Order: sequence, then structure tokens, then C-alpha cells
Amino acid sequence: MLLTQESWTPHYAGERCLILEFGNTIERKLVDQVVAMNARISAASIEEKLVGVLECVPTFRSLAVIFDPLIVHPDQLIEQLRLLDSDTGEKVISLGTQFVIPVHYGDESGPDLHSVATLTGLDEQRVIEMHQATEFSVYMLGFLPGFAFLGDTPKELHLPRRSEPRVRVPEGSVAIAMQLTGVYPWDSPGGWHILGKCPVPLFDGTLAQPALFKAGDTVRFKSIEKDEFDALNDLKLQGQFDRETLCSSQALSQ
Amino acid sequence: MNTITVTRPGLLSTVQDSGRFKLRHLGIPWSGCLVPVWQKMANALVDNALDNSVIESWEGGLDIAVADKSVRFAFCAHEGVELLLNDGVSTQKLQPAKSYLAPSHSTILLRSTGNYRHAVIAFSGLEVQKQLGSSSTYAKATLGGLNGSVLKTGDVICVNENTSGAEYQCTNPVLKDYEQNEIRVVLGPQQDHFSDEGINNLLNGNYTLSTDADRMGVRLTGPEVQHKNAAAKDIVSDAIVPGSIQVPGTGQPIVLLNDAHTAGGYPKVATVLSIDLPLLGLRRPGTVFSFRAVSIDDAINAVRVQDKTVQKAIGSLSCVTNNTISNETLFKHNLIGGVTDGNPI
Repeated sequence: MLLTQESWTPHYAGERCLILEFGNTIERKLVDQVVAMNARISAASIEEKLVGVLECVPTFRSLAVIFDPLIVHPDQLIEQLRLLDSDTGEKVISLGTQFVIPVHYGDESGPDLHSVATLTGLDEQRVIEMHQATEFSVYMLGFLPGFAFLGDTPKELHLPRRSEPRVRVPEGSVAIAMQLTGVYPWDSPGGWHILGKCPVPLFDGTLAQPALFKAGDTVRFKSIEKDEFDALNDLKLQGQFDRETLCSSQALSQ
Repeated sequence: MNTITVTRPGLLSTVQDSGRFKLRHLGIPWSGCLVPVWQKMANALVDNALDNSVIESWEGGLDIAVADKSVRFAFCAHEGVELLLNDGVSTQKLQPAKSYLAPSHSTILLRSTGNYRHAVIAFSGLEVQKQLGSSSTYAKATLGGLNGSVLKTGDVICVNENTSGAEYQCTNPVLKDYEQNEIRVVLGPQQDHFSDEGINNLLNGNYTLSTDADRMGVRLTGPEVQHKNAAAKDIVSDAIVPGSIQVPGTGQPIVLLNDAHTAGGYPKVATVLSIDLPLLGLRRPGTVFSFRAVSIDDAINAVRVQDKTVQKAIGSLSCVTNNTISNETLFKHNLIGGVTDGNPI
């Protein structure tokens, strides 16, 4: 992907963070711009063309640039970032990882599959088919460590949040609300419609890369039966799950 | 090897270091000691690296037993703190910002944190295994600390064995910088979601610290910080940093602290300066604050000045032997050089 000129507006978020705002909607085009800018800042920091940047946080529509105010003034940083921006160069952004994530849809794993089918006027099998036919992008992580917001869920499945949020959405749940699909690495309260559950270690604090996903990755879901879910879940519980098997080149050949 | 044992954990006492960085993009908060100046000073007093792990008490009630070897320690807290050292014979009340040798089989008792919430205790050579680059406890994701948890009765932590050596103290007023009730903020990033009246209220009203407070954030109550309109009450999720003042539909501000989540959908009217943020975690419910907007230049200048002040305070610790300061130590620690480096601040 060649870099193109992008437009962002800087906002101060205190004396150690700048928010580069690319827009105020949830759209893949904005996320792509955010992810590209993030990669460019990361490359420029490694090449020491940019000093004082400590870390960046991509969201749906903005990139937070956290810097050391003892080293750089945010106004200087904005100038440097604009130079990066116009330097379209020949750089190629590395693509994110492509994942295929096994999901057991429905039953006790997906308690809302039935109501989602009813509310959308589709049958349950059709809901599953549409969900797993979609190539999702990881738009951002947040809300909880490792929680991934994926988009876009097919239009036919867009629903507002449940009127009664659940006190506990179990770890591994795959749930939808509006154009987003969320994957829960932790038990948590939540108001999204749970379609299924994936038996995958989504967050492991003992690994150097604790979260499975990062912004810019792509995800497809693959429907699995309960016995396969149980087998994979056992691997997960024993700490034997090999995340590499989720990368699409491997997952699709299985 | 020497150890200390938690014999009474108190409320939300945790191991913290400077924080867990470079992982916010995965939804992992910074965490870290809520009062970084106290962390650095307490560590300096026991000759640790300034970013070493410390024990942070959220609200007192902490007892620590020393094993069969003595250990040096120091704590920082507000003056009203009651921290006792029981050596089995007598109980001595200790002063903050001063190092002490806790003899073998003694007990350190944090009885009251005074008018403020926290106390920060540093032990010489305290060592807790790091996870993802930090020992800071973030219990929600079972990260850091001892097994990802707040301190519990029976927890054993490795420390150095110390037998002799000088004790140090800090008399620099930088440690008392948490007495003001005015909090400096930089407006934004979403101040355009608020009406002029809402922003006026924020900058001219009095806001009372509620009981709703933890390491993630504190709620304040006061004049309503009105949004421009109903649509302005939500934003598409945007990054949050410690210090963000988010305002939900109620118009009552929430200031996020070190364990703040990384993104959220409430507009943020302003951001508290990092050096003023400890006030909100330190002070007790009922404390009345006001917010003052400063320019980005003033904010940058303020953090740079404070950094120099703290460096100087650490560079000029006084050696105390029987409460007198020896000339030898004054020379050794380059007290003069620490007080002025000839540069204007």
C-alpha cells in the first residue's frame, strides 16, 4: 500500500499527548489512515527522524501520540509529523496479520443467536453464514486489555445494543452491535448480542505479545462444532494452544 | 536473601513501579505509582534506582513484618501519617521522607495516612518480577504485582539485607506540593463538544471529590459541564490518557488516573497536568477543587521546572546521623552542586 497524503487535525490532550484526529465516524477508510500514520511514526522513531515519541494509540478515527514533554514540545512535534505526512516516499506499510478464528455459534456459546435471527428476519444458519463470510478488520483495541473492535459486520445484521446489558459476558464471546463485532478476552459486563464463542487465547499476559490482535489485522471467523470447540478449549486451558495455527495460511489448509 | 512479609494488607495496597508503557494500543493501562515524586524520593532515600518498585497503600491499614535480617526503608506521605516501627520492645513513630533501618523481626505498621489517602513505602532492593516490562499491579488483567493481585496477607517480597550505613532525609518542599486545591488543565481534546457556559462552569466552579474513586479514576460533583447539545454527549471512541477529564451525559466530570482504560466514548473537555494529577488520587472525598486552564506552553514549562526541582531535591538529600548532618556527607553528596546548577529554571 502506498502512502497517500492524509489530513488530520491535532488536538492537545494534556502536556504529554497529542490526538491526531482523522474524522469522527467509524469507517474502514479512516482506520486505514490511522494505521498507516501509526506505522509511519513507528518507522520514523526507529530511524530517529522523530524524537520524544513514547507510544501511539490508534482508535477508529484518531491516533494518540504520547511524547515526553521534557524532550519535545507538542508544537514542534506537530511540525515534525506534518513533514512525515508530506513525505509520501516509497515506503510500504506492512500488512497486518490475517487470522481465521474458530467460533462455536449458537447454543450456550451464542445465547443471542436466536434473538438476532428473529430481530433481523433471517434464520440462524443465514446469520452464521453472513458473519463468517465477512473479512473483518481490527479497527482498534481498547475497553479491556486485548478487546478487539472489528468491522464491518454485514448491514443485514446491524442491531442496536441490547436493551438489557448482561452483567457477565463470558471470555471468548463473539458479539455484535451496530456495524461492529467485538471479541471479549475477559469476562465482562456487556450489552452486545452474543453470537458465539471462540476457544482461543485472546490475551496472555505471560507472552511478550500479550494480545492476539492488533489494529490493522484482518479476521475471518470459521464455524466449528461443539466437539472441536471443546478440544481447542482444552488446549487453551492447558496452555498448549499454538497461536500460529490461527494465521490464515495455516488455518485455511487445515 | 532477605524478605518482608505482608501480615495485614490494608485496602488496595499494591506493588507499583513507574508504569507499564508502550502497550496502550493493546488496551493495557499504564498503571504505576500514583505519586511519582514520592516513588522517586522514597527510592532515592534507600539508594534504589528511582523507578524501582515500591509498595503503594491506597488507604492505610498495612502491616509488614521484617524477617530475620534487617532492611532499610523510607516512606513518603502527608505529614499527618502515622507509620510505626515496632522492634518487639518499643514502638516508634516515624517521619516521612527519611530512611530507617528496620531491625530483624520488627514490624512496620501503617496506622493512618492522615488527611491524605496514600503512603508510598520503598524498601532497599525491593524486587518483584516484572510482567510486560513492569511490576505495576493491574489486577483487572492479573498483571504485575504478586500473581497479578493486590497485596494479600502472607505475601513475601524479596528485599536487600542492610546492616549499617547512613540514613538520609529530604527536607525539600517539593514533597509538600500536594496541598493546593487548584488543578491546572489544558483544554481539549473535545472542548468543542461543550457549551461556553459548560466550560465557564468547569473553570469557575467548585468541584467536590466524591467517594467514587479508585486507581482508575475519580468522580467529582459540581456545576454541570454542559454539552453543546444532545448529539455532543457521545463521541466515536477516542484515546484516553491519565488526566483526561471525561464528561458523561450527567455533566459531572470524571478525572481518569493511572489505571485509566485506553479509549472511550465520552467527550473529554480538558486534561489535567500530569504533575497535578496526584492531588486527585491523594485527597479524600469532600475535598473541594477548582480547575484552571493553562496554555500548552505554561503546561510544558511547569512539568520541566518540576522535573528539575525533583532532580535537585534528590541530588541534595541530607545525611542524618543522630539527627545531625555530617560534613563528610555534605561533601560526598555534593550538596552545593545539587542546590544550584547555575541554570535558570
